[in-house]
Amino acid sequence: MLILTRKAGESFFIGEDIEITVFDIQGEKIRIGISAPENVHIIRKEIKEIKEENVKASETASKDKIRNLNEYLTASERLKACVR
Amino acid sequence: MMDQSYFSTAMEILTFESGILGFEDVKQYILYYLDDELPFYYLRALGKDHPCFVVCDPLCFVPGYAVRYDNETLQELGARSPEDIRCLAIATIPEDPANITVNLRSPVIFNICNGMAKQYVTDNTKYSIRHGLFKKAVDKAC
Repeated sequence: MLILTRKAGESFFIGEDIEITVFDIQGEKIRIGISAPENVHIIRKEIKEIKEENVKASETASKDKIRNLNEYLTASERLKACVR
Repeated sequence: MMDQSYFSTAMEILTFESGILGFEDVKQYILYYLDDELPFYYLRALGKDHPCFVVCDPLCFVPGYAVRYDNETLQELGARSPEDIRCLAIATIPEDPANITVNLRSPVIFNICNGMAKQYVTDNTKYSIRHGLFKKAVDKAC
């Protein structure tokens, strides 16, 4: 991985037309400005991971899996106590 | 239509104005109790079989689990206070149900008064997207 050191206000390019600017630094948080063509999709990493996990979760919410889960939970008995 | 014998009563119709991440086009869902005695529920697109999710009450598994809602989110859901908001974690169920994980980082939240809902991305990196309910978390918090 390429690691660069930049100060607030400085920037760098990825390819010809994507410019990343370090906007400012406030404590633990860094604000970053991105100038890129409209067709470049920008997404925060955690959002990408959440989307992927949602797709996986939705695929696993099948009747068979729910039946397995129900049997497992009912057999374990441990959860009933916490249901209001 | 999906066989509904595993789900008992329908609880609530929820409206996600921005959809659920990855399923942005689906705005309305119906929430069912999976079993009256278990803290798991079933969230399914209204009038369709897909997408659907198993969700659970995270407080039953993670004592002290707490999400702070910003004012913007409360307004978006038309909530007067955080007490109006109910929070459910989306579960991913592998072949062995003992390895079930839930997404504590971005729960589904809804206003109990009007059914307005969203998937809320918390900025608390302590909470994992894949928190193991019965075993250790599958990975570190992302």
